[in-house]
Amino acid sequence: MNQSETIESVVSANGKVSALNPMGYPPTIEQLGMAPRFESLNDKTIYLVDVHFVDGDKLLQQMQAWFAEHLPRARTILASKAGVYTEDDPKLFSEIREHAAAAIMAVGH
Amino acid sequence: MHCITLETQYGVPTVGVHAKPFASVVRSVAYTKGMPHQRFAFVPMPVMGKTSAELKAYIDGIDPVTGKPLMEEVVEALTKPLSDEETQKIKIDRSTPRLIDPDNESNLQRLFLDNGWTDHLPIVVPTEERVAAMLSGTRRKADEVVGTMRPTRTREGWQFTVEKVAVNAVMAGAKPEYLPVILALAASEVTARPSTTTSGATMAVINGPIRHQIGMNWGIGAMGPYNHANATIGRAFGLLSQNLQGGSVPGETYMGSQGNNYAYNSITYAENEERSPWTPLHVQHGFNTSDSVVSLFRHCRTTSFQMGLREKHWRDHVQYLLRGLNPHTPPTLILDPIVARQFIDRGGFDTKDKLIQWIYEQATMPAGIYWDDQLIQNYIHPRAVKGEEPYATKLKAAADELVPMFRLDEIEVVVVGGETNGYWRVMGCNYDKSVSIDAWR
Repeated sequence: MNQSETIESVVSANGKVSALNPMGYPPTIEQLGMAPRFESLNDKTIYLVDVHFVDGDKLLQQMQAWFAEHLPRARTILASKAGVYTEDDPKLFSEIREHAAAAIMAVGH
Repeated sequence: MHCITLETQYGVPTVGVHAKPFASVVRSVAYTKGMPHQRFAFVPMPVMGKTSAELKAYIDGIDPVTGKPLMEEVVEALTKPLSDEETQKIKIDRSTPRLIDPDNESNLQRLFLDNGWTDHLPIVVPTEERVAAMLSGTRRKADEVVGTMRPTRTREGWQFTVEKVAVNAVMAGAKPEYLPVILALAASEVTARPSTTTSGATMAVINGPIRHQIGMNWGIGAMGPYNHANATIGRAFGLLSQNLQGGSVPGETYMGSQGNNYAYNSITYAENEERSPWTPLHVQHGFNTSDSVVSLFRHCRTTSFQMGLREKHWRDHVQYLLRGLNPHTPPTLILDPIVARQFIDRGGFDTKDKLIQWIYEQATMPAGIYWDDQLIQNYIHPRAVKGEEPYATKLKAAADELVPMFRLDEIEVVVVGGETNGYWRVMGCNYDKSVSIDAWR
């Protein structure tokens, strides 16, 4: 009988074995602060950004129509994010920071 | 992800509007990316193909996740003042205990199943003794960090050690002598449990002397359940991927709409170097014949097959096969040795490179149809618009002009099979990388 068989026998004598956890080690999460909100969207510009989910641009067109009907004092701009869906678009994001009070990204996945 | 960037790096209040099935995923990603209180709104699925009237109804309607009016929720997300919870900046430490509370094997089987740590088949419980025995298969230290694994590039990576890989190898029923192959698979950092909605699986092809040393199969039934090493190494690849990356849970860390049976053992087999007329796969990718190497292919989902190469129309048959693939997912030809030699007899392709060049030239389609493909629109068109070649040039082609479906350097050839007949197949997949097994002995 080798050593490992001896240990196994001892452990199984009380009917229980000790097993190892198969999961990896998650990184620490550092919570980020969110951007301050305006009280109202009246007289503000909102970017409606299409991220290229199939037919997301058409959904945003309907959303733009909703704003025109229900919040006519909000100005909306339809925009299309450059690059594949995983890539940020620094040029567009800078434009939004300069010209807009808020953004809506759709359709996320 | 883009919303977090806009909020934190550009200071722009942002709301992400997502499709309902992604509710758990986006909340999970927001939490791990450091924005647990990110504001969302959800629309029904599908959006694709809906009429303007139907999409207007989505906008005018109710968020199917929260039950609130959608646009009321959107406006509130952009205007409601931030709470203390939303503005705080804290660190959240998470840890994984090394050991599980002792129990009998039956209860541990149940625990592993309930925790989502298995592939829903019985596993070998990774006791300390079994893991210690598995670790005898490598000279590497148990606490050595091997790398990080993640379900997709936008998700957080979880770190893992040699011991963690050994634990999953035990669970799969592998032998200690297989551990260097399994460590190389883990070290690739290519997951066999990608979260993609496409249901793409991963394929692992082993080359070099290790094939003989651990008794792998590259002959009859090599891609099926007929060899202990092929079966358990492939299963270990799947288990280690899901566990070391932090899970593969449908609706949270797995979104494959249909799923993929290939994922059960990640199409793990050895190349038939002995009966192949060509250079082995690993040598094509810069290794020596005497090296032991595993090569990884991602996004495996499409398979077409053919029998042999007919004298009169073999070129046409191959071309039809290639045009049946999605143009975003290039072909890897998986050839029985009989067919490999037939490609030499019919076409004079006495090297893999010559065959690959010919395949590249045959795989064409009209530019108008190519650019209308949804995956080409999603993943290639944005790169073409940015000026990236060869896509930018392809974008200039007239609609009826034939353009290559794939890049030359995306096409691969592997020889496997036991020569019981001249069957061969084309796997639509992406070669990713080749990793040394010897480094993990």
